[in-house]
Amino acid sequence: MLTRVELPSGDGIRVDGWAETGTEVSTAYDPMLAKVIATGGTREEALDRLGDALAATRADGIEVNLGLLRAAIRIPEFRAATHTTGTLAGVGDPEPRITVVRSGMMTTVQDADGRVGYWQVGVPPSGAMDDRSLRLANLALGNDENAAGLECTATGPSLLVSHDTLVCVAGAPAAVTVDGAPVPMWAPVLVPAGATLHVGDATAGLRTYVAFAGGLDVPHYLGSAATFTLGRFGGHGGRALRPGDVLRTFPTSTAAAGPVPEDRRPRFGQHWELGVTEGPHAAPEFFTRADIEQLYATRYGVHFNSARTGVRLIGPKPAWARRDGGEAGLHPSNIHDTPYSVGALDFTGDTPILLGPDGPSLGGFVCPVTVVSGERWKLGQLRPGDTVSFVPVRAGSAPRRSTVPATGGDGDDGVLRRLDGGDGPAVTYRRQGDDNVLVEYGDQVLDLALRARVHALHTALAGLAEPGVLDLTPGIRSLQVHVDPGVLPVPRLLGLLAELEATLPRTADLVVPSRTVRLPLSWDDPATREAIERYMAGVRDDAPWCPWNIEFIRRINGLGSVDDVYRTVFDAEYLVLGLGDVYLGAPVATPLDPRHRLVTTKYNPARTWTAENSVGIGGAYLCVYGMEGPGGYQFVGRTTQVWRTHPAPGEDPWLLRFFDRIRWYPVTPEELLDLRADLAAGRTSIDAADGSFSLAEHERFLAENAASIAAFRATQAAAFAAERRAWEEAGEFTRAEQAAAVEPAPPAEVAVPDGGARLDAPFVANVWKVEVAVGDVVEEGQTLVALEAMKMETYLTAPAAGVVTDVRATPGTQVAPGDCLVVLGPRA
Amino acid sequence: MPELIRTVLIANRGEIACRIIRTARQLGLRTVAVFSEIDRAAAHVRLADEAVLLGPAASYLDAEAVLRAAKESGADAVHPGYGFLAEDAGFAELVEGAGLAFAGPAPGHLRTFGDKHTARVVAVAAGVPVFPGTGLLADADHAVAEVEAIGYPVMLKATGGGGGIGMTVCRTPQELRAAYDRVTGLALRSFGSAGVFAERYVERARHVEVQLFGDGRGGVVTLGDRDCSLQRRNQKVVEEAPAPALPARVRELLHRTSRDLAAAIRYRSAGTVEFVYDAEREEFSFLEVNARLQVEHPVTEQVTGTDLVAWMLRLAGGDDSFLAPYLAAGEVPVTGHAVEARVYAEDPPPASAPAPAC
Repeated sequence: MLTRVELPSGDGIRVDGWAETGTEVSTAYDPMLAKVIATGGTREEALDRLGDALAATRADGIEVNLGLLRAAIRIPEFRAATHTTGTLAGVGDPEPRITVVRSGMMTTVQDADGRVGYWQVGVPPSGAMDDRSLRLANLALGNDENAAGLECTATGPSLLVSHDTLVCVAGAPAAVTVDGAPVPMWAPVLVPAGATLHVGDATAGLRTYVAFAGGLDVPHYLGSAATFTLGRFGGHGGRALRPGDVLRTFPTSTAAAGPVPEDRRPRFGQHWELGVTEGPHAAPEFFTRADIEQLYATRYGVHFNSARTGVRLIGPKPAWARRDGGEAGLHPSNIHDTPYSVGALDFTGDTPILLGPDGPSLGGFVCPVTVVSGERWKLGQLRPGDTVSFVPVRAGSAPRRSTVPATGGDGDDGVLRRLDGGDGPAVTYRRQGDDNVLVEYGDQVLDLALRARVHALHTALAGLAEPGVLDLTPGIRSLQVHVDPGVLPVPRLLGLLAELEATLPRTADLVVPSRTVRLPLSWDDPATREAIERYMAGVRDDAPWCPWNIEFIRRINGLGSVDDVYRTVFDAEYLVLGLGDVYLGAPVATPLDPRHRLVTTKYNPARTWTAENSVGIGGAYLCVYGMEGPGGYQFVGRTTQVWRTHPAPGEDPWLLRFFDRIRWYPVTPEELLDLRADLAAGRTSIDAADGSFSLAEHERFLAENAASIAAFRATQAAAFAAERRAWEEAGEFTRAEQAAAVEPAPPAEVAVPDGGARLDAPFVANVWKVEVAVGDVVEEGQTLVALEAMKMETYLTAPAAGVVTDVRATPGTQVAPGDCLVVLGPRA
Repeated sequence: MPELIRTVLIANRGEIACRIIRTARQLGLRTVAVFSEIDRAAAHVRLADEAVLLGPAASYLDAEAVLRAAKESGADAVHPGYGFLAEDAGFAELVEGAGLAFAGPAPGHLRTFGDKHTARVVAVAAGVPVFPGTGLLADADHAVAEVEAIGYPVMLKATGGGGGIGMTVCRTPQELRAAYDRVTGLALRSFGSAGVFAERYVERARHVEVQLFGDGRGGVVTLGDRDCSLQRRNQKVVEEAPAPALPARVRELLHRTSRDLAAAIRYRSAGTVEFVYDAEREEFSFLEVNARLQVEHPVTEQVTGTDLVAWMLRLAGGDDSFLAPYLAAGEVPVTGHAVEARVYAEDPPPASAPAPAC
């Protein structure tokens, strides 16, 4: 994919091309992207113009021949017109380049600050997961601390440089070499022209960073160079590096500053203490006080299934203050969807996950504590098998990027302030780390009046354009205000919010701009059937929602037939309450008429694959998946794109807005594919008509239909209760505990023959594939075992040539660091 | 624009499809794009008034599918661009057989120039200079015997070849013997024909070509010349018009013999005669005729003030009045200079493979 195309224009310049930013270039066809044509009165003038035009031409994301072209038209023989068909034979690209020889396990281009300001539409910040190490490496080189560099995960890359290149490697300790000779980390190192920089395996921590003098020159997407691999944008080609990729740096004339002082370098061990603040959803409302005490007393283990989206922890199950999530779900961890903070400890059911920089912006689970901004870099270094403990700190004492905040916590249960509301709903101001305030209205219920109130506050606050406000992100009944506390301290923000609250119109008077958006829905689409089949084959086939989600929706809502489900979905008008659930402009919406609100539970465990733009129902919400990935909502069909990474100039990538009202119209799967293609090609956009939403009118509608709505709810509640009883009898609620109870066997002693070698697991992982058997003769570097950890496959290779004498790894089992996987004997 | 054609289908993709659509719209024609499954979001699909899905990636080569798209969309003309079906005489016949105009050379021209050997025979008959060469070579012994008369070095070529595939320089009889089996084998696999021949090889050669346009009734004009010598792996990279450092006598001869060749077969539409030019001896030799619009045609348009695509479409619609001002002189005058650089999605050294899709 071309992530940036810039073509020249001007006097005497003509460009015949087809490629543009966002074009996918297929290897199926001729690789020509464009012809740059320069015209002048003389040959000299034409060539000079062509030189200027080519200097102004850029194409990023894939390798192109621009360097060669720029060199070709400067060849003296060509300028003198004494050239021949052989003139170009020895000419290459003379411009400085860094070629990826080996890419490492997952190496991405990242900057330190990430992509801030798009949280409300579900674009995560991304950026270096350990931003502190990348900042220090940049500063050592004299770079801006936000300059783009490389983040290496567990295993680093080999990089061949064409010109002298100054680098600084920082972060997780690893063996770093230049043409095989060891070089120091945390200090500027000159990699001479033609030499190869190699970053080895992280021996503690998880992520090593490589900064380059001048910084990496990659296109900014939504203001940042950071790669968001799930969204396939940012960095180099919107993906992790691959062998053969070519990187370039910005030219620089700044002198390197010198090594990072010893006392500023982070220390890397196997145990990590994370400074956290209380809130947003702590005790006694959601957790018991004993739960929170236990949380601070526990050493959690880092689960192998951790990634940039989040670090999964292993620890005790909370007792929970509530029996269930009320309207929001059967589990006491469930709440109505709320904006999350990076660094929050998110309890998805009983499983704690520390949300990372590629994590979701919205979700329906409680977070009792939040890692403060100055400590979030540690998330990037949590290695599977490491341990973590949480240290309560006071928010006000946690300057950004510091490591020594005052301990003890704020002792306020994460609640900054409560207002009784007077005419309007009650307001709760909750703490989310030291840099977010979560404003919640009313009770834990789905009430459009509360959402309208959120919208009113959002609009008023956005209108103030207060310096220091970074993001405003609405949830179902809450608004998250993300600030730079150095510019806008939280106490001042609280004052501002309370003042604004008093100026908001009465909820009943709210009238909000609201478009009617007609979207196609391919009911029971083959892509959703495929996802269910994959789930049944790979995760579980005995779930209550298998083999057909629509039938499950019918049953749990007490409807007579699946046709009733169809009618309900197509009759409904869905009001968009949030965007980016999950990611990239994906709407979370709810039917305006409560009689259209089909309730369901989410998949448990979640699906590992969902087709892009599948439409699902979870709780009382409808969601369109913004991108391919995991998921938990019950499918009803599939629609068109709600996000375009490279929209037409002047348009936003996201297509929906808050308070849009979605109406579905039925299409066949084939028609949907055509509509999707047209939208992707920019031949059509979505069908939206302007209008407004009046809360007073809506309340009138509810009052007029109160009896019928109550009857519908009663039927639905009875069916839901029946389903719940059936689940209890079938052990559905205790599944997770049973699965977790299986303990791995203690490792046995392993004898290695003289002259042999052993291959050990580098971290906690799942064995995915074993590619050799006893007796096989293997070469050094040959793949022996594939592991699955951090949502990635890792291929482990033979440390030396030899004969396989023992295979200890079994596919499907979990291994710990140092566990022997394969034993090699010397070759006969 | 005459009334004869109203809708043109562009049987191509990429920059050339976009470029043809641009001119067709200026002429007031309705445009129909075709596209493969992986090109659903491509620029030419968006630019055209209508777009028809052909099928999988290779379906731009599916003559039946393209013709079906033309009929279903109500097109009355087809412009083939370059590459894909542009020089496929069978496709041109299908189009014309279905009563549609083919905005390119007549099928017979495509057939004559599609085979390098017959092209050379026609060129020689029309008086176009050629370096000494052999006829088709039956075996390695025959090749060595025939080349004795020409002298080394020679270039061994496949008669059905294109894009430089299978062309090998041989400096000694041993090299010629070694190359013979390889080139015939490659030719058979690549072009379905094992025929090879040899011709004199110029060590310091330039690639010079003449743009021409014929009315199909014997009227032919030249539109100057181009130099396309800057090549990598036999692929043109930089082209310019006019060809620099060309003696007037040579230029005049190039143009006149090119015209004679095209006039002799009543050539229709745009075409290019390619030559090898030996700058030291100031001699040139016929290489081949590209019976189509060429990638580098813009440099010619820039120095002649013409629009070759417009000419092709107008001729397809039965209008050749645009040629009238030039027929007497036989040429369109050239002013100024133009250079073109091709931006490719491929990495020059160290790694030269095309960049993969991602």
